[in-house]
Amino acid sequence: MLKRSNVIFVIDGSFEGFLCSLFFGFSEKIVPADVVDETYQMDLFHQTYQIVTHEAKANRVAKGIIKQGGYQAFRELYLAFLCVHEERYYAMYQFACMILTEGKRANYAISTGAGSRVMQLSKFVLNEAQMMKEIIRFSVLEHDVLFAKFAPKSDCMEPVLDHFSRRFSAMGVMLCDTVHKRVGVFQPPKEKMILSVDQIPNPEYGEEEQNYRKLWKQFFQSVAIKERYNPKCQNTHLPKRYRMYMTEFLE
Amino acid sequence: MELIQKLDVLSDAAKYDVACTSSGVDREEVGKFGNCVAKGICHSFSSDGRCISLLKILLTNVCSFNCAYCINRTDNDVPRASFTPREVATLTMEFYKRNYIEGLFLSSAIPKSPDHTMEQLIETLRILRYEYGFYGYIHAKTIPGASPQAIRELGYLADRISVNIEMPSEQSLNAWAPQKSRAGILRPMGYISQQLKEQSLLSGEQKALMTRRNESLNRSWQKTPKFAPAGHSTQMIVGASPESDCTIMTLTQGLYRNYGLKRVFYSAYLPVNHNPKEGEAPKPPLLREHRLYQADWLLRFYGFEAEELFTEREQNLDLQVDPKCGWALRHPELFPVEVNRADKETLLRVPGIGVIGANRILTARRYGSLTFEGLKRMGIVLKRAKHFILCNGKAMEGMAERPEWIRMCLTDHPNLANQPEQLSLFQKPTGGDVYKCLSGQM
Repeated sequence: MLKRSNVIFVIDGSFEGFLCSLFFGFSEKIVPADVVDETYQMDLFHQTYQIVTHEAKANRVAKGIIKQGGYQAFRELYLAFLCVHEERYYAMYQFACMILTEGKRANYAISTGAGSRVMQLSKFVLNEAQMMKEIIRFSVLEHDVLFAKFAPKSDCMEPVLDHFSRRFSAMGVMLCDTVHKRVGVFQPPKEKMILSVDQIPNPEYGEEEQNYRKLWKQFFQSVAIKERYNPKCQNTHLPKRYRMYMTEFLE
Repeated sequence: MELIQKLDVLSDAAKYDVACTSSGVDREEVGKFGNCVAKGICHSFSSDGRCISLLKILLTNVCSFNCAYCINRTDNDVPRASFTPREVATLTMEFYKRNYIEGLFLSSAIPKSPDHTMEQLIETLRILRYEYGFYGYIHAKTIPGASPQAIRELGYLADRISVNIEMPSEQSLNAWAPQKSRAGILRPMGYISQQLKEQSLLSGEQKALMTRRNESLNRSWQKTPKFAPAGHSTQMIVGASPESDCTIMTLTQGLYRNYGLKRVFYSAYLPVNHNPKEGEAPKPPLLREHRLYQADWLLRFYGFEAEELFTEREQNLDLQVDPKCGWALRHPELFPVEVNRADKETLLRVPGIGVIGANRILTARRYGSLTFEGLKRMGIVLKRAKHFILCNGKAMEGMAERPEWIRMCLTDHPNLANQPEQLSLFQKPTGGDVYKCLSGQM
């Protein structure tokens, strides 16, 4: 077993960059003290090393992980990456090392160590993606384009855009992540892209759109049984922070 | 009447039908509008805490029946309205586009006859499926007394169909809804269950033949015509009639086993037709309803039999602890369970270990031995489970041994009428006090 050095790997914040840090660690036989991105504050006790991102190296590592641990393990790593938690890189690094050295057995390591941390991160992203699929509210713009804003803590745009592109496979979809300033666009039949933007667009809505919003709000009110009024239960299932862009809670 | 007023009246009228799930079928085809996700998606939660997944409405609340529990009965003076089938279909499409709903839940009162109502429902679904090309989820209610042909036609358009059993016994049904008959409910349920069984027995070749025939004749809206792919369900009212929980759960078990139902729903009785001159209206038995749902889960996912949940003396579920805890407290001889060696069936019987928890335990055991810390990280509720498990022979700190003491710790609602016996040495013991005293730390 190699000793943990006092070198910190600094990556550019992309998943490919992370894979390249693995390539570097394995080829130079260095166990990093930590793996961070460029927002990290330097300190005097550690050396840092800037990892350069090479697509070819990243692909080699990706193939190695899939071969050793199966596609499931690779997916866990990618989902953990989407979690946007500062300390995720090191847990991912340790888990990736487990996969590369122990193979498929690493998939069972969910109760301790890096395996359980990665599972928590990936579960967070999947749960949030599920929540977003539930609470996103579209507005129908011209030319039958569906437009929505949402504000997730993690970067779950990919699974969410995928879900809606399959559900509305003949309509245009535009999803705006107001926290991470990204816009996901789907154009039928197959084009999907995710762009970073400076400002989230704010389109105008017509009368028909306003009418259907009113109808939905009416339905939402009529459906509640007053004798079973239970705001605590409603809050457990639907915390207030999710209600920002939900039509039935606006105005 | 304007559309928004109709929607107000007819969604208000439909809210007492508690079936709300959009689960049971995976369906997707490129180029089609909409899809279905098998685990279901809950889009919102109303102020009573219930999930909103579907556009739940009545086609009309004009009724010629007079069931005592129903707000829409013909004797009541409530605003009446009717949608046209096209209005419902358009509303469903527009709500679905905006991701407000997973699909439609359509029921109706009976203005003329059961089959006349069925025709209206079928027309609505026909417009949705054939004209608008809707591929999302539809749950349609079958009207009691409907003919087999109507049920069959409805079943090939909807994903889930259901008939409400309303009351847990024939006696109660006759008392509360004399115009509906037990036979009029069980016959359609039997017919639906038979159709589903026949469909499940079709071989791959037979299904392929159906697909090819359908393609050439262009008959069905789906590639392979399917009868109610998400199965059927039912609902009964709890707390209106005197049946015990044991009767209700035995009936539930029979329905799952003999009719192949996917879900049984329980609706706490709300006295909507209560006369204020007769005194205060009884409060809806919400906690009892919650315990029944927990017991229902035990039957479907935890391998319990209905008989195990009750004793000769206790024919109703304990309101203080959940049914699984209740069972575990009556069987102290089976605990504690060694978490690193027990099989899945045994793990599922431990309070605090659910289906997901049990599966995670089995997975994690393949890597190494489990500790209490590890169990906590995997989502096991140690507050409950610690009284019933060992990790490598060791018990967790705070584990109580006698059932009475475990019950003290597990009690969710200490203010209920059926309190456990107070231990004679203390005034008002809390769980923590009992242990401190036993170990001499008072």
